[in-house]
Amino acid sequence: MGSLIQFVRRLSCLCLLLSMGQSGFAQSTASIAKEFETLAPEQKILFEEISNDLRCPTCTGLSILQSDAPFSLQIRQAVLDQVKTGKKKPEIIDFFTERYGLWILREPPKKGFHFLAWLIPSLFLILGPLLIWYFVWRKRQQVSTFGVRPTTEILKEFEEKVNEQRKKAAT
Amino acid sequence: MLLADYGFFLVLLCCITSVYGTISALVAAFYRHKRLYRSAQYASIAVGIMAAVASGFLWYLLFTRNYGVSYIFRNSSNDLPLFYTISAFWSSLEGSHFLWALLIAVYAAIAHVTYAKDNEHIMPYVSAALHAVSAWMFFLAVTYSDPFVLQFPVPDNGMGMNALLQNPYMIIHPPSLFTGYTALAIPFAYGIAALCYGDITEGWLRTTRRWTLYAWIFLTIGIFLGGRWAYVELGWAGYWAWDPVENSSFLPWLFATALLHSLIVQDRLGHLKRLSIILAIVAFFFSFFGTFITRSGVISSVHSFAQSPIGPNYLYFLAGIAGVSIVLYAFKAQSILPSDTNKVWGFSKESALVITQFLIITFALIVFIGTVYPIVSEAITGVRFNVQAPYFNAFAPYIGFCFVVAITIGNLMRFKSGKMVGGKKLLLGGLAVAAVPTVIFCYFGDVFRSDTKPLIFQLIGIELTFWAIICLSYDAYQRFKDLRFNVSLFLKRNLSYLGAFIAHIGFLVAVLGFLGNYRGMDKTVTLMSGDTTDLYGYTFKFNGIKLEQDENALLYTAPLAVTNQKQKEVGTVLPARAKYPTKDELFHEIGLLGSFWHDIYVVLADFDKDTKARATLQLFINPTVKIVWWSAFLMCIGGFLSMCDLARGRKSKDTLGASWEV
Repeated sequence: MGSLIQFVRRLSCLCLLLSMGQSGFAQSTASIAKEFETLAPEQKILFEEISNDLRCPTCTGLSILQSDAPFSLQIRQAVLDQVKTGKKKPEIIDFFTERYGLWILREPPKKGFHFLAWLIPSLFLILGPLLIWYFVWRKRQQVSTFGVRPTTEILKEFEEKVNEQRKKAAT
Repeated sequence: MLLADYGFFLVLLCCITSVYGTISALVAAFYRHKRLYRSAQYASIAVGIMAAVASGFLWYLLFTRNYGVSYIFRNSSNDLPLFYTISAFWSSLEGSHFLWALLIAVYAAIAHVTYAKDNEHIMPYVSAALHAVSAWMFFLAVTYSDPFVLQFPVPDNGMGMNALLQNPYMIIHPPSLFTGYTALAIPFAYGIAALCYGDITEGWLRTTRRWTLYAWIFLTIGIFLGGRWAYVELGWAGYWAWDPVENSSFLPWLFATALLHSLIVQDRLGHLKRLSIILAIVAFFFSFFGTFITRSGVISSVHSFAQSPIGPNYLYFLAGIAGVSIVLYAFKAQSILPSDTNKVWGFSKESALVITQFLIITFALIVFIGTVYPIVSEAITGVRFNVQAPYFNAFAPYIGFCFVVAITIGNLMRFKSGKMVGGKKLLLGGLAVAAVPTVIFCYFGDVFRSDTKPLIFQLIGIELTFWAIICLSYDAYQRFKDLRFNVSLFLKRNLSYLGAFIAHIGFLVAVLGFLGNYRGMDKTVTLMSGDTTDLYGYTFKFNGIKLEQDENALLYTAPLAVTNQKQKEVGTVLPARAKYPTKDELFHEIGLLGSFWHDIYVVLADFDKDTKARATLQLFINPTVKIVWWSAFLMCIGGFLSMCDLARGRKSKDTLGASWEV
């Protein structure tokens, strides 16, 4: 079922591209730049934000803003058209994910399985110091509650431990 | 032709000798047999020499344009300049794999010759590990990626080198990165050896530290040169895209950095021994992981120039390393105990270093998740989801912020003591004093010119970085003062500290650079001959497309005369498109001009080939990019100074002579 949906999506994305091609409007870096200049300042920011979040389908690692591949120029034109209609950012992003699939985004969406990609690092960042505190610093405090022991005693204890281990290793 | 056959047989001999070396070293370790170990040692030297000779053959065949060798046919052509013939050696899969194998053989030979006397008891294990790695690499070099495959009939001209790789940086970038990757094999081998032996001695630390630093320096050079290459070659005005291959060169760098910091604690206090071993193994694991990603094509990248079915073989090797290491660790690690230092942890430098470890490893985890996410998401959700820059950029500023604070606080603290150099007075005073360089930096770096991005975080970042630099400098001054400004004594006793100081300053300068060029400006214009356009106070005048011949490429150049606000001529920026005789498409040649504070970066996006009078140009102003390149110099100089330090780890008391039995 999933693959069917994906197929339909891809088909619709193809249709969208074809219809763009048929409209006879040849996008170029220059024509988009010219149109971009006519936008209001906040629309300019919105356009750059959205373009930065959409990936160039034919290149690797670049946004549609950074690449001049024909495909990404078409999408850039589409973003420009969407921005002109006065829609908000989430609506425009939804517009593109509906047509191309989540695949078009450059970062995982914060829902479903993809949320894990955000959750794991965040949890690690927040819980890590607590764990270090628990395992390293707190342990030290526990040791010191027994009173400070002389170094010789600790040395003896470690030596015993080492000998035990060596014996184990030898047998 | 005959030379190619000799080359192949030498590589085959390398493989066989390495297999022999692995076995003899293992047997030598088991029976503590001295002469058998010597034999493994000589085998390693022989492999190093044979690999070097074989690589000499490959170069000779390249220079004589011997298209009877398939690799040379595919990667060079008659028009290729002499300069790039050198780098044609590693411009695609077989050659770069061979370079890997060559470097690992050479470093293994060096490690077999230069080991410390008090390491002799673990040398058989080290030897076995190194031989095993090079045996696998040479095995792949004779089976899956043989650079000496012949072909018939012999063509007259080659297919030509990938035009993206015809760039001066490609001469140094891959060898230095590979040097870093392969030199990490030696800390890895010592880590494995320590696990096998079940203990760590001081000599272990000295050798591991020096090799890690060596690898770290070359990884730094390699990463920055790779960035520089992307900057001048790919034409999107950036140098770091969090591309999978960039990430996979960054991961070993992060782990090597973490290893260097845990070795400090180990040196001073005898703690974190097991962490050091884990990091040494993981760093090498990830350098191989990077190679796997680059070659297998599992994850697509702009830096992948060498894809082939060799991929799974790297995966087996990775699994092998992981399996052996985990089993060894599980059985042997508990015998590696910390020293009996009583007063550690608490509020002190060692705790700060643990926090540093944590930050570095977390950063590595994030980078790793982002890199393998396409595979994971495809396996689970069925959609191949390529994680790109925005994901990493969502985390990187916070981690960078933590790094800056941790570097400052950590450097001001002392081991086993709760005191801080300068105390609150320095921390608060430094914050106030840092305002001055911040203002200067903002003025020259033109931080305020762009209006599309939030300013406040950048200001805080710049202020904090200068604060860190001031605190570190104060600490350096204090140390210098403690030795009564005696330079020779300072260099003798504190050389490794001086290296660390310079490397940290280098890192902070890099952070300044990143913060500065976060706010670049750009503009896309179409100009007719004679038109001018303005950006950021500069005026660009276009005078038509010119044709030029440069080495083997035909350049369509759009020279732009640049004048600044005072109508003074600044220079000419030369964006171009290059046509190579063996390729159909046109490649970008970036026009670059600029002052210390910012680059003028121009891409010729499109032009009218017939009339030569119209050009579409993308103009970028990239602030403080040069500062990023300079920071790499600082970091490498710092690393080099630290490596020259002979004092650290010298106070070895428990020298164990090798207890050979046979």
